[in-house]
Amino acid sequence: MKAEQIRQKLCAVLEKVNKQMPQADNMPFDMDSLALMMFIYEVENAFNIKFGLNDFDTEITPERLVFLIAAKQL
Amino acid sequence: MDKVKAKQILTEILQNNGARIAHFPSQKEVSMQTLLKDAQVVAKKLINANCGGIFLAAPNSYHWLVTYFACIISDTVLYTADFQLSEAELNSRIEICKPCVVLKADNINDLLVMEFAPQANALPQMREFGFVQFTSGTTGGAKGVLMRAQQIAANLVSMQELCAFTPSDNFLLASAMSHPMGHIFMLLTLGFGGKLTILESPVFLPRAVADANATIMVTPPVMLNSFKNMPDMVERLKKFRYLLCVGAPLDETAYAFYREKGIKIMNGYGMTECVSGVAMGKPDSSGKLIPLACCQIKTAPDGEILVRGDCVCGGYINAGSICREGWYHTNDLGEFDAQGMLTVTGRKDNLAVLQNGYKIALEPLEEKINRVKGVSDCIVRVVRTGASDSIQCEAVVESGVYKDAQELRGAINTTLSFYEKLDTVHIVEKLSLKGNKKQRG
Repeated sequence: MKAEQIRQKLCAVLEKVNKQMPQADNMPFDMDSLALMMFIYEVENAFNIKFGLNDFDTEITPERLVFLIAAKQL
Repeated sequence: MDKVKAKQILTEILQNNGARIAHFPSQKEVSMQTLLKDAQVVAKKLINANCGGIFLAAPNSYHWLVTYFACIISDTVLYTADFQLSEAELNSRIEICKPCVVLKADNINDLLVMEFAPQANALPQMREFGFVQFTSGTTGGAKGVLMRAQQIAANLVSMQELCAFTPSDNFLLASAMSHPMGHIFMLLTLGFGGKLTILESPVFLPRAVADANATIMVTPPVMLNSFKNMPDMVERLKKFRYLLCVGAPLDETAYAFYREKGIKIMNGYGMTECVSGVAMGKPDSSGKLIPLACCQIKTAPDGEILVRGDCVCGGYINAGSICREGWYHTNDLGEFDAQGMLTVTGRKDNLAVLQNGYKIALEPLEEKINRVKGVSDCIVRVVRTGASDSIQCEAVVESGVYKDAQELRGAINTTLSFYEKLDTVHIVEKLSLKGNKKQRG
C-alpha cells in the first residue's frame, strides 16, 4: 500500500475513533492516552497489523505512523 | 488482625507456587519461584544497607513486584507515587520520605544489580514493613498514607470474601500497582494462585482485552463508557467473569447497557486512607454497595460517609492522624437503604470526580491558574463530553501577553499536574459564571 493510501485509510480510522470519542479531534498526537489506545487498536484492526513495544519508543508522528504501517505490511 | 498474622498472610503470597506473572503483548511469563528468588536478593541488599525506605514511581512491571515483596521480606517501607507526576512533584514527595533508593522508569530494570548506599538517617517508622501511597495533593500538599501489613491483610481478606478469586482467574492489571485497587487486586491474584497480566505499554490495553484471555479487570468508568461504542469490544468483554469499576461512579445507563449484554460489572468504593475498597457492589446491584467486613460505615447527620475499622490506616507520614474522633471522614455524601446497602450520592466539598478516577478541587485549581503570568481571573468547569470529561476554563488576561487562547492554554498547562490540564481555554473580558458555584455545570 502506498503512503497516500495509508494516509487516507488512517483518516477513516480517525473518523471512526472520533465518533466513539468526540474529544479525540486532533490526529492522535494531541489525544489523551485513552483516545490514543483506541486509535492504535483500530489502526491495528484496519491494517491487519500488530504494533510492537519498540514501535512506541519514539514520539508518534503522522509520518512515523505511515512508515510503521508500510514497514509492517511488507 | 495482629501484626504477626498479617505479615504471615502477605509472606505466604510468595509461597503460592501456582501463580504466574504474564506480560502483554510479549507473552513472557515468570513464575512465583523466580519472583521469590529475586525478591530475596533485593531484600538482602536492603538489609545490608540498613535501608529503611524505597521510593518507587514507575509503570507496572515485574521489577515493581520484586521491589514490593523485597520490602515485605526485609521490613522496609515502600513509598509509591504516580509515575506520571512531574519531576518537581516527585521531588517534593521524595523530600518528605528521605528514601535510600529512588526507583523510576529509567532505573528500575537495574534493580537486581544496583548497589544500595548505606542509610544512616532512616525515619522512625521505617523499621517495619509499610506501604505508603501519596495522595494526589488535590486539596493541598501531597499526603503520604502509611499502610501497615495489618491494614493491607485485613482489606485483602475482606475483598476476597466479595471478589472470590480462584486459581483459574487471569487478572488484567489496567490500573497502576500503586493505585489502591491495583495494589490489592495484584495481591489477590498472586495470593490465590491466578495469573497476573501486566501491560508492557498502556496502548495495548484494548488488544489485551481482546487477546489476553483475562477474566477480571479493574477499570475506571471512562473506559467502560468508551467501550460501549465499540461492538467488537463489547463482545470481548462478555468473556470476563466480571469487571470492577472504580474511581468514580458509573452512570445507570452504562450499567443498564452492560447488564442487557450479560456483562457483569461490580462497582467499588474506596479511598487510599482505607487501603482500597471499603464497600463493593454485587454485579447486579448497580450503584448500591455492601460495606466490607474489615470496616464499619455510617453516615453523619449531614450525610457524610464515615469509616472506621481494621482497614483504616493509622496516619499520614507528613500530616498526622487520618481519623477524627475515631472515624475517617471521607467528604463523600451517601445514604443507606432499608437493606443496609450504601449509595454514594455526591461530594461534601467542591471537588469534581472525573470519569478517569482523578479528582479536581476547582477553587485551588483556579488559584493556580490565577498565578500564571498575565491571568487576572478565571473560572474552571468540568463538563461531561461523551465517554470522558472536558476541563474548561474562562480567563480574563492582560492584553498583549498571549497571542491567542491556545498559547495561553499552553502556558497554563505547564504549571498544572497531568490530570488537571485544561482541554479548552476561552479568553473573555468578564467571567460569565464567577461567584456562583451552582452554575458551574
